[in-house]
Amino acid sequence: MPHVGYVATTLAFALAVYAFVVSAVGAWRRTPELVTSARNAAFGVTGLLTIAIIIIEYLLIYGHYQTKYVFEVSNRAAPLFYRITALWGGQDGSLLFWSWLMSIFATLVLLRKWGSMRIMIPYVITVTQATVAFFIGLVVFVANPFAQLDFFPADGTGLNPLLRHWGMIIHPPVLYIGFVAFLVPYAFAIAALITHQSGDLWIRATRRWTLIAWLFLSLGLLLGGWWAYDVLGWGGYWGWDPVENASLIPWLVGTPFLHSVMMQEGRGMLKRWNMALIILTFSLVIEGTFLTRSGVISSVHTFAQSAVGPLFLGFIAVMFMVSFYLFVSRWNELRSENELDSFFSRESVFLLNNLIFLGLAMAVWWGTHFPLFSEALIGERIVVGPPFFEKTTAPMWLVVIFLMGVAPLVPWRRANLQKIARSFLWPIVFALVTVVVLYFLIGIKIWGALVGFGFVAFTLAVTLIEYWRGANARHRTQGESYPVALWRLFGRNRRRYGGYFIHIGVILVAIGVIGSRFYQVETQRNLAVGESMSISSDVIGTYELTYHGLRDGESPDDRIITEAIMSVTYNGRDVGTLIPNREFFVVQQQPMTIPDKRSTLADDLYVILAGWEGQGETASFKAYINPLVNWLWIGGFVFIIGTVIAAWPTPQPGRERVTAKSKTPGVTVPAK
Amino acid sequence: MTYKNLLFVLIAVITLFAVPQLALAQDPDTKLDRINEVAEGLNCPTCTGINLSDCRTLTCEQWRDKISDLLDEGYSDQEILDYFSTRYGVQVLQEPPRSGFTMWLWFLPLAALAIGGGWLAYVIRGWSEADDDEDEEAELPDVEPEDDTSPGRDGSDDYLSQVEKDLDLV
Repeated sequence: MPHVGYVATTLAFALAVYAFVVSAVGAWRRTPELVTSARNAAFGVTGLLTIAIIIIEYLLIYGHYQTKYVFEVSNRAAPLFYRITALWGGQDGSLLFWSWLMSIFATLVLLRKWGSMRIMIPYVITVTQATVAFFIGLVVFVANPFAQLDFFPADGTGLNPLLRHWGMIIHPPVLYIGFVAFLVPYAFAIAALITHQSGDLWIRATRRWTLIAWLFLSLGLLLGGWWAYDVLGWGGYWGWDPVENASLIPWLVGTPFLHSVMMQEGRGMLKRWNMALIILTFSLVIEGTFLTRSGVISSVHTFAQSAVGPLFLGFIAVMFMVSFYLFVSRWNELRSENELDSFFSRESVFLLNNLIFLGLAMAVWWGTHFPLFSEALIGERIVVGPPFFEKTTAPMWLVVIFLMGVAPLVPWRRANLQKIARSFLWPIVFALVTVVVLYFLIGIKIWGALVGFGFVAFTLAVTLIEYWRGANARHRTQGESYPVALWRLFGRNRRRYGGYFIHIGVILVAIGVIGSRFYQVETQRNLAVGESMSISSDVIGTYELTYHGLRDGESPDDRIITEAIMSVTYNGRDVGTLIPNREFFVVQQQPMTIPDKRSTLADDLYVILAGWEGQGETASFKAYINPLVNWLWIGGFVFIIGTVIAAWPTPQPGRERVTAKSKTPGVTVPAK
Repeated sequence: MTYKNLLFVLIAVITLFAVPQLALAQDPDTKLDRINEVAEGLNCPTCTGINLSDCRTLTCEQWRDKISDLLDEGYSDQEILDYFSTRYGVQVLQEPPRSGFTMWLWFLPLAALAIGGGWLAYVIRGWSEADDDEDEEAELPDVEPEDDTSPGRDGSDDYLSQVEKDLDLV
């Protein structure tokens, strides 16, 4: 059975190479039959990989421990859920999973675009299949999950305890989808370069794919943060760990790409820049996965050291050289159609936005890779902790939030400063009022938080006013009531109003970050049974936690669970019980400190059992108050809704029903 | 000297000696927090990427006990960090010092941003200078991106006519 899986994977590799070569030849020789053959081969790759995935899952679920990978990531006591998700619990399986996901996207884009994009499609096949072939090649030659041990183990070693969390089912797949989906715009960009396209066809073809890639990447990041928060027990959600950063950096470059393609579509500008951005984004995706999988930088996330490192570097080098060569040789064809009219224009704002995001990407990339440089250059591996990242990126995040509020107010091409000054007025007033209210009524005194909330308020006001203005215009011209007008706005201008909705999501995430970053309170106490500890925050209030003793928890599989019972009061009022626990994984001899939380919109009370003496006569507890932290996760949901709106297909002309009424009598409304 | 005055002097002298003792003695309740505060500046020496204040291994416990002792001896936060970094190397620090090679860590992003900003200003100036002779009034240009409705015009007729154009009703 495992051998069938390996054969399927090897065949998939062969087909991918075939598709890569034949599509290029077919395009060059203008032989459509070859291109069709390559397309079918691409479909075959997905089919074969699906077989391989089914087989490896079968081996995992039924515990075929002679298979080395199954032995390493699974064991008898593991519940079904973890046996299934163990597919991506280790290097080999997760590479196969990645390859499969990537090939699905490569197939989907062919299914959707086969009829159109005739000139570019062959090279899209070439690029996607080359990349897919590389990853499958890694699996076949270096990281084979079907490899067999030469003995018959009775049981496996089990999944890493850190991965035993429901987030395991969702965080890696969502994140991987975010990564692999960027292959689509990249492939179209390269295809456009190869075929000497100077227009924005490649952008229009892939706009939704980019948006979806962005959504999954954003969600993947948030889910990773949620997981860390929920299970690692250090009270935070982002540690600026190298692997976390490796997934953030492509996001930091993909987000400006998503925005500046708007400028290309509208004004024919920034063509070279957008090419460079997507090449950079996808290169960073590959570089990020290299960082994660090669083990060159140690992290809580990294897989074990393996031979994939140098191969990745080789692939990145080739990919980058080819992209760079194409980019440079098409330089003149990518001349802008229009020039910038004025310093004060939305174009400038977008350019500034690009600059800041790249600054963020650079700061995070540099800090993440610095230990490598320091070791290479001075022989000492210097550790770069969160303080560096926070200090360098904080001002830039602020500017980004601010620009999010400025851009809608500044028109394209040329802004008349007097005219737009009026539109700045109310948002600025709102921001100032917010700051004043926060300072005097809520008691927010930390100036960093005040500045942050001020910018957030400004941008929130601008975004909400945009909705109001659009609805108001419809109301005045169409006679629609405001709720109907608002609804129709979403229908008529999905990209814009969906985009604004996503911006609101960003604002919510920012609120969560500012609150939890500036106003987190933590305390640690040793308590005897019956003793209490209190934790208080000026802006939230006071919690009192009373320790009632330890007890054994239900141990479903190979864990020993010890729970601590704590009753909690908030400002004197009883609010229930929290049960933080320690899970000790017997096979791996590894303890996990699992927090318990009381979550509200205003804050989280987060408690961990840090240790205990004897039978728990005394125990040590660490408690945190994390204000506003739940707005991060709420923001994530808003991302989803906003992206669905923005990416929703617009009805094609001729098919839309006439539903609008005109206020002007005698004017017939034409069918669109 | 009367007995009352002597009593006062005695009390004063005792208080003078007692006060420094009171200042040094740590309120046992907040001692753990104080240790964690200092420990937050350090990394776990054996694990990867875990802060000393969050780590539960024996080594980390010992290090935190050491911090406790140093605090009792009157060391300042920075002195304690220096104590550990001199003995175990700079890699135990969460925030690398801004001297020597690590200056590049801090310097490079700033330099990159400054260079990027300068280049951006140069490019924008170059572009906009080239078009100074073009039409001044860019009312509702036809090269608008498909979704734009020329914001910044607060409820004026220009805005409404653009909106109506967008909504395909004019």
